[in-house]
This record gives sequence, C-alpha cells and structure tokens, in this order.
Amino acid sequence: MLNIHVCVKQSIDVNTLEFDPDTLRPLVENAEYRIGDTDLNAVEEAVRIKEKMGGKISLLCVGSDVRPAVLREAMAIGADDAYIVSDPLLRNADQWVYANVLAALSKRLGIPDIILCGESSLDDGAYQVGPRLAEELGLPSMTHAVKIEFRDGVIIVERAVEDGVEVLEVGLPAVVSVGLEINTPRLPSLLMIRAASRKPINFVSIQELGLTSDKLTSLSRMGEVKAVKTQRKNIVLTGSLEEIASKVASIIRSEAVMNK
Amino acid sequence: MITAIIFMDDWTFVHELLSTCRALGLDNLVIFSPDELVDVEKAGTYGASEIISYRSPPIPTYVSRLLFQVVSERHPRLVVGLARKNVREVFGRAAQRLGAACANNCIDIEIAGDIIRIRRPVLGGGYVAVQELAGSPVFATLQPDAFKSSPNSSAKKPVVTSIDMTPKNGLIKIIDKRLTEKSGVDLSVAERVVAVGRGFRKKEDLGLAEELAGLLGAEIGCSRPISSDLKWLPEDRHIGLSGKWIRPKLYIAIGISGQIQHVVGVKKAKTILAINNDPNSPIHREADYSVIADLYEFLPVLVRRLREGMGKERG
Repeated sequence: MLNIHVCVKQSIDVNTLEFDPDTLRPLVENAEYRIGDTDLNAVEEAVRIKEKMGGKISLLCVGSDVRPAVLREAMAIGADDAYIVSDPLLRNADQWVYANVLAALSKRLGIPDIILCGESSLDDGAYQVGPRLAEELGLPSMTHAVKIEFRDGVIIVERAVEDGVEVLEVGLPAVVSVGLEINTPRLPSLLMIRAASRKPINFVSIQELGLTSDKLTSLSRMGEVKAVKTQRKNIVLTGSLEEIASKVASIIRSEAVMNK
Repeated sequence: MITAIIFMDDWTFVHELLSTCRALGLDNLVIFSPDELVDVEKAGTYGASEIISYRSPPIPTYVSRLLFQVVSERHPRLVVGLARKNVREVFGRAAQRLGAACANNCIDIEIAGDIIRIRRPVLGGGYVAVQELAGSPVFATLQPDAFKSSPNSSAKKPVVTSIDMTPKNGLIKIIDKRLTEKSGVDLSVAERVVAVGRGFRKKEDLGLAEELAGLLGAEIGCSRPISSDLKWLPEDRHIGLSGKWIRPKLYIAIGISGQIQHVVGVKKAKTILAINNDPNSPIHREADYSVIADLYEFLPVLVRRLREGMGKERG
C-alpha cells in the first residue's frame, strides 16, 4: 500500500484569458480557474500507480482563495481525498512560500512514499515548486518525468531532457514532477463524478502548520504583466476551394517577392 | 568586486552569459562547470576570472548541493545559467536551501539597487511579466537567444580550482541514456515553416503537409501533441512554449487549434496562414490569412494549384 501526495494548483485558465486591447493588461478579474494541465497528468499518474500497487492518493492544494469545486475533476479521476490550505495571506505568494507551505502540509499528513507535481503551473510557469519542495523535505527530486515504474522500494524514472531520455533509479520517498508526455488523463465518467462528490475535502489552516514568518514572506514580487501583441491582418479567404487555393498561391508568391 | 556565479553544464552559450553578467556591472565572474567541459581560453576571452570545476554525476539533486556549497562560500550577487531542464532543477533546490529568490526563462535582467528585475513569459507564454527579486544572491535562468555576446578587451586567463563529489550512499543512479533522434534541422532559423497539428488523423497523412513544404522549400514543424504524445515527429520539430521559438517569413499552420502555448512560439513570424476547418479555432485570431476548410480536401487542391503555377513560370 502506497501513500501518494499530488500537488495541484488552482490556476488561471490561460486559454480563456482575455486582455484589454488598449492597455494589454490581462483581465484577471474575469479569469476562469482550473487545475493546470501537467497537474492533471500528475493525478492520472498517481491513479495508474494506485491501480497497480494499491494505495491512497491525497491532493494537496495551496492558494489564496481555493475553491473546492476546482478539485472536482481531479477527485473524479481517482484521488481519494484532498487537503486545502487557503488563506488571503498567500495572495502574493511566490514559489518559495508555496514550497514551504506544501512541505509543511505534506509533513503534517505524514511524508508519503512519493509526491507527484506537474512540471510547471499553467499560469505562473515558474518551474520551481517540485525541486524546492524536494529540497525543503530533504528528498531526491526528478523533474520532467515521462515514465515511472515501481521496483522493490525504488522507482525507475525516465526523464525527458533536451538531448534525449535519461533513465534513473531513485530510492523512495521522492518528489517527481511530470510533463504532458507521461500520460493522457482519463475523462471521468458520470459515475466517477458522482462518487467524487462524497470524497472528503479537508481544510487545514495555515496557522496549524506552524510556519515562521520568514517562510511565508515572498522573495519576489510580480510587477507589470502585458500581453505580447502581434498585429495580424485576420483576413478570411473565401470562395470555392479552387479560388481559395489561387489566393493562397498569390499570397505565397507576393511574400516571396516582398522578402527577396 | 561583485561576484556572479555562472553555471555552465553546457558551454554553448558561455559568451552570452558572461557578456550579460559584465553588462550588469558584475566584475568577478566565476564559472561553475563539470570538469570535462572546461575551456579556459574561451572563458578568459569573455571575461571569466575563475573557473570552479566539479566532478559529479549530472544528477540535479547532487549538483545542487555542490552549487549550494560554492554559493555559500563566494557570496555572489547573482547566480545565472541557461534556461534548461537540469539547470532549473539545480537552481530551484539550491535557491530553496539558501532561502533565495529564483526566476526561470528570463528574457531580460537588470540590477536596480537592492533588487534584481527580470522579465519572463507567463500565462502560457502570451504575456510577459516584470518580476522583482529581493535578497542576495538571486538565481536566474536565461533564454539564450534573448541575450548578446561581446568579447572583453581586457581578457585574462582564469584561475581553475576543482572540487570533487562522489555521492556516498547514492539514492539516485543514472542507469541509461537514450539520445533522441534529431531531424538535423534548426527550425528557429528557417525562412518558411509548415506546421502540423491534431487535425491530421494519422501519421501517414502528414505526407500532405510534407508535399506542400517540399514545394515551398519549407521546414516541417508541429504542435506539442504531435511530437510528445503521438511521437509522429521528433521533439526538435515542436514549436511552442517548451519547444522552438521560430521567426520565419512565412508560417503555415495546418490542423493546429492555436492554443496559447503553441502560438507563443510563432509570434515573431512575419506572415501567418492558418488552415483549420473550425472557424472558432483560436489560431484564426493569430493569423494574417485564414482558410476555413477541411485540410484533407484543401491541401490536394492547393498543392495542384502551386504545381500549375510553377509549371507556368517555367514554361
């Protein structure tokens, strides 16, 4: 029986986020929130491990205003319960603070056999929480995992690095961050979604974790955020396929002339 | 003297990193590098004053301990490296141990008094954030193509010192490494790129796009699912946030929906043509020209039309 913690973040859904065309500022106040893509890969991987090895999966979610509803999909995929630390104190939390809170929460629940994270959050894209959490807990880390296999007390992890795939053996417990390549998260059935509504979601107050104020003080501060704007012509080519093909051919020709 | 530690587990962009540190006014540049890569001449020309070489398996958990040790002794203002997977992991761990700030994938960096200000892509890559990092040292990984190199006129020979670490009770072992098949093409400098996405139903169908690319003298690229999930094309063809950032004169996206993580990689394309049968697909918002048609019906017509045109020109 394995204990598995999966760290998930309530992130801005960057695919529906809009920006003000004049100021280029993201309209965060209208943003929708969801669990990030690679976090869902981590949940799916945990479920696959559980299916083979048996065990229990707990979601760990830390944020300034975590809504339990965003965890529904991850719960339906197969997590057993969830622990949320949600406090306005964490509004400007950076990865140092996130890692400290997650480490304290994981310790409080009892260090599991494996902690899984997404390689990077959907909105902030910092690529830090996995390694920072591992360091804080004094555990080995593996980032960009594309395959995890259990073998008597160790795991064999395949990592996608820039020039290839590395195969490593790692003693447990360990913190493993996964990318999109590792699996395709299952689409939960209606039955799974219904079952998920009965799974316990627990709130843990940040005070209970006993963190000192330096561990809750961000070291970095976000300043201005602006959309990278590119002016495009947005011309839809119309007509029969033949006519459109002729238009495309002349666009390609004129592009070639322009750039000679 | 203000110290910077430059972590080089790959020396490809050593000049860009050293030049960037010099431009920031850092004047004691210490390279931290695996023993087998050390190139004293190269380092000296661009202003390094010292090289600390190490022997350790290239396992981030272990290398981060060495870096922690070096940073604790040298008290640098800044620790920099390339925005690569192992470097980010080494920096994340070392920064946590030191209680230090870290920012990855920076496209700009400046020192402003007590803080270090960087810019980096956020929110899927469609946005750039300014971030201020407090305390000292600060860790930062840089996107190499965003920085320039300039040789140092007062080049000197750096001093080399070495440290050794053989993990005693190795919890982590590298047991194998498979090098990825490479297409041998650098998409980031291609003039014309034809990219394929999930609109293609099977691998064999990519022939349609390859034929078009052949006619145009274009390179083939793809969105992340094609290389990472389906593995129809090698990873170095992947265009987007975690892949290649390209700047061709003409970019043709075929059967690509245009998620922000892909689009960020083509923002610098001069002209974008999108072929996608879904009029609501976000790729159309990012395109100069949109063809709203089934790629399976349209590509053969387009290829025929282009061939006819070429025939005419020749005749």
